[in-house]
Amino acid sequence: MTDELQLLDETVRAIFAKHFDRDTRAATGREFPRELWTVLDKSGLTALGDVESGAGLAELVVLARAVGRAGAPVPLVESAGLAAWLVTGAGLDLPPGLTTCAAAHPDDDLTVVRAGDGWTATGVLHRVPWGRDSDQVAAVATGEGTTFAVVLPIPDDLRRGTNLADEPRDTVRFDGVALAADAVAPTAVDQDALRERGAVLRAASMGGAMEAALELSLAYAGEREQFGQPISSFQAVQHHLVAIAEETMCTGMAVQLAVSASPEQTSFAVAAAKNTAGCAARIVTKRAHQVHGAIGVTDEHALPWSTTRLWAWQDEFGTTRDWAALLGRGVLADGGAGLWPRLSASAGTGEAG
Amino acid sequence: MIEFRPSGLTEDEEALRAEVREFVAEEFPSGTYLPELGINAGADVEFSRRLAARGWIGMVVPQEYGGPGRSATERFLVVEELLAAGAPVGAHWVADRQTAPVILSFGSERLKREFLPRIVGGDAFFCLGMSEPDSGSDLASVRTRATRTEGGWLLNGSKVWTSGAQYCHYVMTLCRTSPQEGRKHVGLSQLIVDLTSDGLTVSPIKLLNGQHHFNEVVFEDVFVPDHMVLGEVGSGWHQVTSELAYERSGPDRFLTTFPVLRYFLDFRDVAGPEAELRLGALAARYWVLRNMSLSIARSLDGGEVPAVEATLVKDLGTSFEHDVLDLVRDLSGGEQEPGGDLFDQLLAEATVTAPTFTLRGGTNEVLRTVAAKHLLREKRRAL
Ligand SMILES: Cc1cc2nc3c(=O)[nH]c(=O)nc-3n(C[C@H](O)[C@H](O)[C@H](O)COP(=O)(O)OP(=O)(O)OC[C@H]3O[C@@H](n4cnc5c(N)ncnc54)[C@H](O)[C@@H]3O)c2cc1C
Repeated sequence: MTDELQLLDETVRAIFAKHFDRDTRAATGREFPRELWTVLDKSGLTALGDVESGAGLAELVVLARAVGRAGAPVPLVESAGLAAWLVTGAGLDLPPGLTTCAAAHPDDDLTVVRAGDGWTATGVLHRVPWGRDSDQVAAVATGEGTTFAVVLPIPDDLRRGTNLADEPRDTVRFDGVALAADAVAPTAVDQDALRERGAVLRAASMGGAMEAALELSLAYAGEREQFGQPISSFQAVQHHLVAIAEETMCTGMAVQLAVSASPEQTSFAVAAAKNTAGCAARIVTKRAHQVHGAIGVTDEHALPWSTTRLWAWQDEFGTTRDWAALLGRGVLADGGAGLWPRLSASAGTGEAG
Repeated sequence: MIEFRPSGLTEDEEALRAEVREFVAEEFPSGTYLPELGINAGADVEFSRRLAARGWIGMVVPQEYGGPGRSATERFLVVEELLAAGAPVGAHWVADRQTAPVILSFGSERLKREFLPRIVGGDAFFCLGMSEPDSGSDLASVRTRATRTEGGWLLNGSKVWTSGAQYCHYVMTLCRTSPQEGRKHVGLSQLIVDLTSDGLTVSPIKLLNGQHHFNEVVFEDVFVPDHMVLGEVGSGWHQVTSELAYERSGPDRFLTTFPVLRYFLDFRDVAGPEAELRLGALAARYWVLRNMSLSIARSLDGGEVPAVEATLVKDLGTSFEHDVLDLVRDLSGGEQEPGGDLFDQLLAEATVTAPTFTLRGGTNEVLRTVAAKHLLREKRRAL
């Protein structure tokens, strides 16, 4: 990591440690942690992806990873990593309040048409993260044969849903909603590009959640005693720990590779990152719970803060399987002769790590 | 927390790679030869000499000892191309990967002058005399012993599984140079032993498919002159373990079965949703493992000794080599015919030699235990 990224990492970690400790977690339970959000907002982190700020994907990956490590139920990836980037990238201002972002769900369908000075929007956005807690949602819409970035107010009658970690995933409908002229602008970011960016950031959060699961597992194995000795002295347990560490490292590496990828490599590197995180998540969740025994499956324990997210996030912004199929089609198209050059393609500049 | 950093390539490195790729494409046009499987590769001395002529053996040896003085990363780029093509790297493999760097680190001036130029020239091939009939994973328990004699040492004992002893010139031998009192890691040394020495016999041990890959090497009062001791007498254990970052992290730990996959795609009709899904996940894993392995080469160049990282990459990589075979078998379907076309022959050989991947160079069980101890120690330190 460069010094700047290191500093950002420390800053974010410190905020989570101070405003989202075990007690706060226990007290807020599954509620939106307003106090934490206010601190993140005041620190400017919720708008870090603003294209004017100079922060790139590497910075946002640092945020996403920290969210995963803390197991904090906040839409920081959605606001800073996706909404701020999408909206300001199209030349629009980021409105005040909490702006979440559409999840590039495969069934999303949103269109805009001109109406007087402004626009009207019609369509549906599925499983919008923290829809109910947000003031508006940023999304990609189509109209006039092109693609637009739009900012929509959250309607009152959303359909509530959650993911496996109890994070809000609400479906919102728009039926000819009037939008001001400054809420819509053409963009180069289409649904696929939004999904790609979301995939890298989710994979980064998954890496963070794996780090937390690894730390918890190492600590617990060192202190829990059975048969008169710490369970870390049993080889079967040691091998669980190593497998967790290996998969955590693979995920971290895959994410960094996606960050430093050259433009022509991006789609391969992103697909590899999300697929790697998804495969790793299965191993990490299974083994971390095995190490923890019964205490790990209780509501008070910190481990489920990681593992429930890992179960849920595997499927968001493209499932593990979706990304594998995409990669596989590339492999088949390249054939035997193309495979090695593809796999050994130089991973960008290496400056991002 | 261990972290791997992605590493791009400099222009010079890209140029080197292009040069190697061109050489490999000329030497090994797909479908015209039976690829070798990684370090199970046989010896082709003429091929090793051609590589040497291009400066691609002992690349890290500095110019003052006859080498090109290139980096571990540059060596990585050369060997990964060779392994991906299934080149016959067996003859010079150990000398290039391991012996050259350890002689550089620990060897006397005399040993450096005597051996490094010959390694670089493809004229001195080494094998590893570590394992014994009663010492496998518990390597420090070796019983081969050297006792003092006029001007050197007398060596007695036997080594097994010594890959390539039938064609190499020297065996780097781990032995006991003082009797064990207390810790068994104390009192071990590394001796460079000429395989043509009096009292030394090499007998083949056939692999399960009849191939002659490894050997038994027996020493009966073999005289080893003083100057052939590598490094300090008694420092053998420290030296052997410091080789591990070189031995464990390279492309040879995840590319062994790559030629099988390549021939599969070249010579069979592969299509359909199952193929897409499984090949996709496989490609992601290759991509990540290769970049981890490359990042270790970069750290070696930066003067670090990423031994634990190397251990983890070897565990992941060698397990993955098995996964590649499982996938190719599932997708290719049907019975295997070892006497079929080149792909059939290759798959058959890979299938029956697969157990070696996760044994040699330290078994995966032992690697994981070593890595776990490190992780737990680091965690305790952080608490
Ligand atoms: C193809 C091939 C080439 C080789 N080439 C060389 C060579 O050139 N030079 C050389 O010196 N050696 C060579 N070896 C030997 C190799 O290093 C040994 O096979 C390896 O170290 C394991 O030793 P072993 O075979 O005696 O198995 P053992 O150590 O007897 O192990 C048997 C089983 O027990 C397990 N086990 C043992 N101890 C533990 C433990 N503490 N915890 C958990 N599980 C344990 C192992 O993981 C393994 O599953 C080669 C081996 C192969 C297969």
